[in-house]
Amino acid sequence: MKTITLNLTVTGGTSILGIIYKIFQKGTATPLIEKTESGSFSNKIELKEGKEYDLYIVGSNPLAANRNTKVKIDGDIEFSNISDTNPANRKGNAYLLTYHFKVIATKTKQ
Amino acid sequence: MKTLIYKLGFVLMLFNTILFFAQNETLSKKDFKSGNFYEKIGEAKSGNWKDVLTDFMQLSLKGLSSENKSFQFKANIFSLKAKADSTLLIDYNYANKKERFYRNFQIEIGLNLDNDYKFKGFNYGFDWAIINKRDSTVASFAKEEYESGKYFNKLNSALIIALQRYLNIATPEDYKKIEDLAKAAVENEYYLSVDNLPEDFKKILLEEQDGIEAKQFLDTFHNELDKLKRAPLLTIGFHSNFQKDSRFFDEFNTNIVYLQGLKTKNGNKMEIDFRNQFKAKDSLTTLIIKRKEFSSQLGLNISILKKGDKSLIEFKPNFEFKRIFSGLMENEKNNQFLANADLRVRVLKNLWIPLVLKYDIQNNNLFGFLNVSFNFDAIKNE
Repeated sequence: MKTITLNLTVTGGTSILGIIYKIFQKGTATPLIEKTESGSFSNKIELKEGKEYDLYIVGSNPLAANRNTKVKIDGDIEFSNISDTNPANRKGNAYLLTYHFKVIATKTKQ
Repeated sequence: MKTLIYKLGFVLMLFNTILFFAQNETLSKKDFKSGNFYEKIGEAKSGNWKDVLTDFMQLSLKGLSSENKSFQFKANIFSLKAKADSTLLIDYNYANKKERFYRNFQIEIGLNLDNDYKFKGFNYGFDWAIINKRDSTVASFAKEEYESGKYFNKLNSALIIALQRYLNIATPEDYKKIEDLAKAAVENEYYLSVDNLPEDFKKILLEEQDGIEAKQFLDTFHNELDKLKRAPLLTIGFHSNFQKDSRFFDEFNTNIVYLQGLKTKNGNKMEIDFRNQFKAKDSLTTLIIKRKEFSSQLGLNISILKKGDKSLIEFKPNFEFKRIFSGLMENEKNNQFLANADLRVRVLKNLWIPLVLKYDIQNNNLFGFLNVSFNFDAIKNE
């Protein structure tokens, strides 16, 4: 198992309708992890090495001109080319971010 | 004159003391601004509302066409604190219960001028909003919607699962098209409508939504905003004038004002305006006249021209009953009935010109008062 950290920072006020995220193992349709948050958070998530995952984040920004949500994922992972950028900043009313990634397996010494 | 200078000094000292304490309280350390959030809420308020309780600060020149002119500055204590620390204007700081009293308590100070715009005395006062539902519901309405978990949460949970199911069966190109569509829709409208979606994805999304009507989410959200625009205001106030060679409280008035927005079919902004005032004045002419009067006004403020939520022209017809308890002037009656009309024209974004017309029904007299008021913005994004 490896730990990845999902950091989400809301600036400019309160996320007016909250934030939802779900993680699926590739090829499945039942979420491994699903959470709703009301504001900024930093959550550690344990995932299997060598496996591929899909992460979706939907959230709402504050009602402010300088609103922003920054998403940053830390960990030993490799993103597919259709993933959103990491880190990502979103300034709209709300946002949907998608990340498709593989947890890199630790190489064992022969 | 010496007495007058002492009095002026006292009021200025009081004003500076309030400013000092307002600027020195320890506040949030986070350094963000959300001027537009505050502005958005402010725009929903009428010019009539802002004349009762300012959002921030207001400068006004009253009675331009009368013998009793006055130049007034009023500000709520919150605005003075926010000038020192703009982080207060972030929604969560703004909505903090600790700040509620400061947002709802405004102080006034001004100069009284004679017909030739010469200094005649000065005025001061305060107003306190006992009920200000447009303020207290500002930050809570969205939170309630979120906490109820009705629509945003359910609809977007369904969208995520639908996207994942579609990812598992669709070609990368087809999936990417849907994902891009969903991202754009969520960014602008908070949810993805099923209208105009390709049939295969639409079927999956409808299954996951399990009968939730997507449109209901936005309707609920907008309804909450509309309710906010109609919420009531109840203020009590005390105002006094110091004239040359007069004593403390020689002239004062206390008032109570109630405003309540109304729901209209065509979305027009209307509010009921109900005010009561008790006025006492000791006049020194050839003899001392102690005048005491009570007046009650009931009217309807109508936004006759608006752009979006912003009123451009407001008209307020109202009836006034006045009872003079003592200090009747020559040919004056104890009970008076007046038919009044206020016309407010927004000349610039923050500049209003209110014209107040009063018609004495019994004596067929018409009086007119012209005012100018400038409302300061909450804060500018620098």
